[in-house]
Order: sequence, then structure tokens, then C-alpha cells
Amino acid sequence: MSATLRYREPYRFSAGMLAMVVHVAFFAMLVMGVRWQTHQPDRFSVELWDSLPVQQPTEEPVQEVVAPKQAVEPASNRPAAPQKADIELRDKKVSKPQPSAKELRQKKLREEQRMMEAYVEKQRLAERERVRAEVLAATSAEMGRYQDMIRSKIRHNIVMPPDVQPQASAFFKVTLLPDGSVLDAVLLKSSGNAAYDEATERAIYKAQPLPIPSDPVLKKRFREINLTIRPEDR
Amino acid sequence: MRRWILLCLSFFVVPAHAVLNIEITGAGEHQTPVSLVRFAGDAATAQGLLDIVGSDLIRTGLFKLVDPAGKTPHEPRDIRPSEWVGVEAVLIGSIQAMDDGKVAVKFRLLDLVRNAELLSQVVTAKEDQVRAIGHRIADMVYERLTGSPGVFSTRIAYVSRDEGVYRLVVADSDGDNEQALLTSKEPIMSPSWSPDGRQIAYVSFEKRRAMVYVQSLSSRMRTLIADFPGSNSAPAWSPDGTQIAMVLTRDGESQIYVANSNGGRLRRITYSDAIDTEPSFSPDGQSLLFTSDRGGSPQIYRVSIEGGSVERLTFESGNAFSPRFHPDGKSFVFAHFGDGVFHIAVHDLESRQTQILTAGGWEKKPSFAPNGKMILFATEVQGRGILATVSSDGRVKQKMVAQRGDIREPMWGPFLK
Amino acid sequence: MMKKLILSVLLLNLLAACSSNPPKEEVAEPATTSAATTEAPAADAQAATATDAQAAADAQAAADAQAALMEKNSVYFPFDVDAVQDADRETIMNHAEYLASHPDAKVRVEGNADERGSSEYNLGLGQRRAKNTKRALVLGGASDSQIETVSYGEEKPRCSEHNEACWAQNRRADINYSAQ
Repeated sequence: MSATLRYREPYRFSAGMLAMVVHVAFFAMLVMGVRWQTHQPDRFSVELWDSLPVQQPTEEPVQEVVAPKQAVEPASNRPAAPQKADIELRDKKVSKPQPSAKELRQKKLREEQRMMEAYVEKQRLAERERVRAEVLAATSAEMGRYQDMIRSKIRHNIVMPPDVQPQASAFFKVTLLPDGSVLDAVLLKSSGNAAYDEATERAIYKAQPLPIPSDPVLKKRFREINLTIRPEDR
Repeated sequence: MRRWILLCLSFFVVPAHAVLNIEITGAGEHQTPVSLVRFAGDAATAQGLLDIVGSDLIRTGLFKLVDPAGKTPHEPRDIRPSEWVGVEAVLIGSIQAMDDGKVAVKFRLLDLVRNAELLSQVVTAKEDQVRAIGHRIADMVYERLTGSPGVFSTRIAYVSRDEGVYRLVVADSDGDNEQALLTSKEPIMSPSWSPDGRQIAYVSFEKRRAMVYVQSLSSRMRTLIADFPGSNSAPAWSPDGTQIAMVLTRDGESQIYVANSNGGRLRRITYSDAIDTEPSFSPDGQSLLFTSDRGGSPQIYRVSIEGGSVERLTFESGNAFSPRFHPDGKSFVFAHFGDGVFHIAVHDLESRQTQILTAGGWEKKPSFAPNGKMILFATEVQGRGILATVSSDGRVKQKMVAQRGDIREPMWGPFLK
Repeated sequence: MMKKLILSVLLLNLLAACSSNPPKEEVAEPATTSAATTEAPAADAQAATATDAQAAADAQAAADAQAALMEKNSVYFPFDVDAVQDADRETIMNHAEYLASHPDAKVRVEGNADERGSSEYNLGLGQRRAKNTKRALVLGGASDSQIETVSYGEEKPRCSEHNEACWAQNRRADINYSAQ
């Protein structure tokens, strides 16, 4: 009842909306991030057996983890290590060792599975790194190739005016359209020689369409380029 | 609250790549492709102008003439860039006859690549001055496209010798429009232009030995300014036109003196027992370049106009003769003689570097055009004396051959006001 | 060498007794010599007495010899050199002695150079050669006022080939007698 001044938060509704939007966005990013991180698991199945198939008996379960090829193969090739336990099972009618043997088996299986998964995961990460590095290298090689082509095409179109000082340097900001044509070429810094400025500007226009990558991601990087044009190497 | 919003928003920022920076050096070409369209108006005049402008631009070696192939635009709106592939600039215009026997030539130079108008001018002159108008237009086109003033309206002087008759000749820079200033049975040497282009000093042997005369181009009047005992030669005007440097042997050896342009107030500049000759004033009038063998062989030296200490400038093996300053005073051209061959060379005073510009031969007496872009010199082809030009970077070469006899001892004249 | 000197001095003394015309400006042609020879008998015929005829004959012979000696009125120089060479000592002496004995005679020494320099430098080189030739003549007995020195540089070559044979001919100083 007292007329207490209460600070009323301004733009409450907008704030709330923004907060919700941000939360939604975060959640979306999280989901997308995880999904992106995850990819289809390698196709192999894990079978849990109570009884083991009578197959290659091996003493050391560790072998499977070390030999990668064998690990990826279907579990049917897995050696029947627990065979002994199985025999024990049949022989002994003691309830205690029986459930423990089974438990042991299962535990071992789970461990092996885990180790295998870990190993596979490691491989997958390594593979992804390799691919990423390759893509990066290919990208910068591709970028370099197109920069070289642009450089050479513009140079080819430069008609050199006489007696340009070797230290002259014209600097342009050029905006390109997706088809390589020049939207505009702005002289940001004159070379000090008006004839050279004009000749180089003409060369940029004459070189249309400039060679740019077709890949949309790379093409974007050629939307705006800075050109430094000189009569000769310093 | 705002801070939090900003913080949250900052998570949306996508990492950006730096803008691509590409460096380009060099060039594809050195000749700008231009098209000259015959102007509208009197056909004979138009063709005459076309020929003059075309040959002037071609002679510089900096332009490639592209035939308009039947297209005849006279206004910018008549030009469709798609029809001019490969052409960077086009010259169009019209000729209008005016009342008092004059013509007004309107012309435009258009940049077809950058879509810009480079020149829009009118030149008015008497009807019979087609050549002069053509040279003027060529000068303007050259200046607009290269940044340097054109020299198509300047003149050159030289000596011709044909069957024992010597003539001192003044002509247009393309060799046309010859005028003989002197005809003699005795040799003529070393013509030298006054800075205003109105007078020429020269050496004549008509009195059976070398004497220096100064002659006016308009009035044909001349003054004998040096007839001291022995030889009087190598006249060179000061940049303000008030003085002339000369070489006199009156005191024994060939030494450099300076006098007023009428020959008065003679004073001696060099004191050596060598041959000091071929003085050339610096553009600021403060010093002289000259040839001297005081060091044992002919080399180029510099001395202050007040006289005094002398500085040697050329140190290459071989001999150096005939120095002449570049209009900007920062370098000079000279004739280098080594291994039995003459070359035209330029020496830069700041870097002290010498650059040889020609392939070599009997190449003598070089002089710069007043825009410093070309060098005129005397040379020989199949035993005949001819004139030649080379661009200051050594790239473009031209020859000028007389119809009869030999031509030698050239000098490029100044800009005419 | 000495013998030739004595002989020429003797001959010159003989000439002193006779009036004679100085040789022409241009290099004496062989025709002049033969003309002189043909004149001799005519001169002889005119002389009345044997002694007069003998004296006249001797005088003419001396004139011939003089002309022959004076035919050589050019001295030559190596490349870029302006000092008078020993090989030309005789020529110099001939003319020096002539001038010494003919105080009214005047000569123009015209220096020249080959084309291997600028035209102005060559003008200077020719002038130096003329000056040195004059000094040699003066040392040989001529007086300073009899000799004018001028230069034609490379403007009046005797030949125009670009080879040493031609260049050697152009590196010279000519001693030319002015018309009285």
C-alpha cells in the first residue's frame, strides 16, 4: 500500500524474448555441434554370449585389441577365452563361481569392447585430423593458384607508360562479382605517376572476367581484393 | 543488461578471414593501343591531320595504331565500346572552317576501358597550318597518356654535306619543313640553340678557320662573336640566354671562356694545359660540364660557372665526349668511345651510374629533347651520315636519313612558346 | 743525316742568290717537276753565256730539289698524339730553313685528326698538332710571326674509310704557304 518506488525493468518483454532466443540458439548450437561431431559409427556389431561358439581357442584376449584388423571384424571371430570358465561351469555346480564366471566373462567382454571402442575412436579422430589437414592444404593451394592467375592476367594487360620510377606503387581495392567481373576498382593510394595509375586501372578492367574459384566457400574470399601494383620487384 | 546482450551476441561472431592482398609487378606491354578516327569536316585537312598525328605517335614507339575499320564516330555517343575490342583510347573530332581563313579543330580523346573522357579541346589556326595543328594535337594526346609533354612541335638543327656544299639546316622534329640558314663551301660545326629557340650559334670555316657566329632565325641577320687567333668553337648558351660559353685557343691551348651573347665581356673559365672543350650549361646556369683530357684521356668534368675547382665525372674505361645535361639537371648524355666503337650513354649524377643506351657505331653529338624522353644523335649507316633518336630508357630507336649526302652535328631545339 | 743537312744548306745558299717563286699551296704534283725539267732547257737556251747558263741550270736544279723537298709538307702523328715525330724532322727542317731564309714568307699550319673522337675534341687535337709543328719550325729557325696555326679537326679528311690506313693519313699537320 505504501507508495514504494519499485524499479520496473524496462523492455521486459524484449529482454525475455532475447533471453529465450539466446537459449534456443545455444541449445541448437549444442545439438548441431554434437551431431556434427558425431558421425555414423563403423558398422560392426557386438554380441554378448552366454555360451561361446566352439572356435579358435586363444589364451590371450589382449591380442585382439593390439591387432586392429581383427578387432573390427565381427565378434564371431572372437576367441573363446572363457571356454575354460565354461568348462568350469559344467564341472562345478557351485553357484558362487558360476555367476562370477559369467560376470567375469561379461566384464571382460565389456572391457574389451570399451578398449576397442576407444581405439577405434582414436583412429577416427586421427583420420579426421588427416582429412582436415588435407582439405586445408588443398584450399590454400587452390587459393594460391587463383591468386597467381589473377596476378598474371592483370599483369599481362598492363601497358607500361614510359619512365615510371621503379619505386612507384599503386594500391587498389577491387570489388568483384561472382562471375569474376569487376564491380569497381578504387585507387586508394596513387603511385605518384598519374599515367601509371590510369594504365594499371585500365589493366584491371581489361582483365575481366578475373579467374576466381567456383567453389562457393573459396569464391566468397575473392569478393574484395587489394591489389598492389609496381613496375618491378624492389 | 546491455552488457550481457553484447556478451551473448559476441558468440555469434563468425571468425573472418583477412582480405586477400595480391601484389603485381611488371607489365605485359609498352605500347598503348589507340585508334585515330578521321575527323569530320574537310576531307583533305582531316586526312592530313590523321597522317601527322599517327606518324608522330608511332615515332615515339609507345603507341600501337589500331585501324578504326570503317567506323566513323564523331561524337562520344556514337561510340559503342563493344565495337572497339583491344583499343584503349580513341581520338575523334571535327574541323570547322571559320571566317577569317582559319579553322577550328575540336577533338576528344576517350578512354574506352575506364569509360572516361581524357581530353576535350579546340585548336584554332590558319588553314595552311595543318602540320602544326597535327603536331599540337599529337602533343596533347601524348601528354595525356604518358604524363610528359610532347615534343612534336619542336625543331632540330643539323649540318648537311652534299658534294662539297655544307648547309646549316633547321627542321621540324620529324625532319620535315627544312630551312637552310647558311650555305657554304667550307665546313660548318656545332649548331647550338638559344633557350628561346630564336637564335642559333654555330662554327663556320668560311674564313678558312673556325669562328663562332650567332644568327637569328627570323631575320637571318648574324653576328661574328669570336674570331680570335687559332680556333673558336663549341658555342653553348646559358639557360637564361644572356651568355655563351665557347672554346678558344687564343691563349695557346683549347680552353673554355664565357662571353655575353653578343661576344662582349669575355672571361676565361678553365686554366689547364690540356684540351678543355664542349662546355654545356646546367639547367640552373651555375655549372658547366665539359670534355677534357687533363687526366690523360678525354673524360667528362664539371666546373662552377665562377671557375675554380674542377670535378671529374666519368671513370669508365675508354673515352667520354660531348656531354649535354638532361632538362632536369640530374643526369647527362654523352658519347662513350671504347674498343673502337662509339655508344650513346647517360650518366646519373646522383647514383654515379652510367647506362649505355645504344648498340654502338659512329654515334656522336647526343642531345636531349626538351622533355628529356628522347635523345637525338648523329650516326652512320653504310658510310652515310644520318641522324637517329633513342628513348631515354634505350627501348625505342628511330632513324632519320637525308635524301642526299650526309647529315651530322645535330641538336634538339627547345619548347617553343 | 748530317750529309743531307749540309747538302740542303748548300743548295739553299745557292737559291739565295736567285729569285724564285714560292711553291704552290697544294701538295706539289709530279707534273710540276716535269714542267720544271722541261723549262730548264728553255731557260738554258735563253742564257747567253755558258757560265750564266750553268748558274741558271744550277739554280733551276736547286729549285727542283727545293720543290721536291717541299712537296712533303705534311707531318704525321700516331693516334691521340700531338708531339712532332722524329720521322718528320727532315720535313720540318726543310721548311724551317726555307722560312728562316725567306723572312717574308708566311705559312699556315693546318692541324687535322682522325675521326675517333668528337668533332670538337678533334678540332682541339688538330690545333695542338699545328701548335707543336709551329714550335718545331721556330726551333728550326723560322720566326713566330711567319706561322699561323689553325685546325680543321676531322672536317677535311683525305679519305673516309674506317680503317687505320685512312686514319693514319688524316692524323697530320699541313704546312701551306700563303699567297703573297
